[in-house]
Amino acid sequence: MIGEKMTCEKYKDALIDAAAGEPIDRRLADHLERCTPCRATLTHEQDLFTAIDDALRARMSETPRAGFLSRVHTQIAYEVQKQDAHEQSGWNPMWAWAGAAALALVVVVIAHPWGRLRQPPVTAESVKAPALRAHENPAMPQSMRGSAEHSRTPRHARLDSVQPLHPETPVAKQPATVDPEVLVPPDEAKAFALFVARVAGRDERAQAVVRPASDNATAGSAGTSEFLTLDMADLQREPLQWEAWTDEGRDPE
Amino acid sequence: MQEVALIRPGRTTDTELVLELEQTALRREFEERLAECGTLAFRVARGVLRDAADAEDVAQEAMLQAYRRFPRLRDRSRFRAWLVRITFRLALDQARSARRREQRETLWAVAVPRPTAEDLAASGEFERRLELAMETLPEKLRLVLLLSAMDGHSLEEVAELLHVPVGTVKSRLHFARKRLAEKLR
Repeated sequence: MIGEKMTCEKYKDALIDAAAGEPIDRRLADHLERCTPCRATLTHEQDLFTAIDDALRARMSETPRAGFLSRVHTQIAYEVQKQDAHEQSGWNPMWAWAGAAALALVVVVIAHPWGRLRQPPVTAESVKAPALRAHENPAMPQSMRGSAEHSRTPRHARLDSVQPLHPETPVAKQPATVDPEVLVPPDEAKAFALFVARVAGRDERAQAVVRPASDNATAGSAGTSEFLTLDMADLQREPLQWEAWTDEGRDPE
Repeated sequence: MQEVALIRPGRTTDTELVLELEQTALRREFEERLAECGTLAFRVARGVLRDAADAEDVAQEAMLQAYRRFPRLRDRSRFRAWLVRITFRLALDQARSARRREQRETLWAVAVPRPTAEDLAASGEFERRLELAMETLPEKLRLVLLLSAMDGHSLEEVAELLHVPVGTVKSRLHFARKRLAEKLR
């Protein structure tokens, strides 16, 4: 009995395959002829597969209710109308994106502090070599420099009135810093202001101070060696008139 | 020297007319295909969904989506397969959301009356179990099972619809039925 059961177990998979519709091989057919329980199992499995197939077939043979297709046609016609309305109104979904992008740009521009946009960043370069002003740029044509010159202050005019010491010196090598903008630490501001005021009274010496070393060398070779050595003591030797007023208790020499 | 631009006032109108004619032809072609594929879409949806009304809604939505994307379909001869796939996907989504909704409602229900044996028999217990068993099948097996169960669909036609070899359809169908039987046994 146990041996027979083990034999049936061996045919189990083949039995299910056969019930599912696979062809029955000779060995299984021989076993089925001899084994009644396996024949019953095969019948039961075949019924199960038939029930599955019938249920699926019944379900998949259903038809939609009357008017289903006409409803779909109506829906499509509505879709077409909607598309036409969009086209006639000229509306394009991309416009919404473009509008949103423009709005975002406006928000960014408004929110950004204008001061930052206007002020160029202060770098070491800008402190050491101040930028050339528009009206001082030798490369700018005379016709364009007119309007810039018009807006100059009298002080600028006075400094600009200094003629080049050596007419043979190329124009491009003229000092570019006749009105320099220098950042000075707060504790040195007073001393620097004093220095500038003294130098400003001696335009020729001021030219020498702000002239690059190479120009000074050129100037020296042209016989103006007094500008090469600029001693601060020389500047202080002849105090200005207003200094005498302010430094009342100080010895002039 | 100034450039001279040639302006042709009739050109825009011509282009619009050509576009309109193309759209009309496309729409006519789609509607012709719809007449023969409408029932197919419904049946695919019905194979996945329990309710026939839900299946109609899904089939309608699938056909609308197909209409919107129809100009982009390169191989028009594959329209049926394309529509089947759209419908099947939509039906699966609908079934999943329905199941989630059902679970929520079951959780919140105070007292759900338990069905008696007679009720189960009357409501088709076998159908219900088959439904559950099918939900556990992989999508590939499920689609083959549904399409093969449709009237007039041979294995070759199913293979053509799914763009797979006939042998693949046969093996998938065999596995699908065996797994269903295993669940229902």
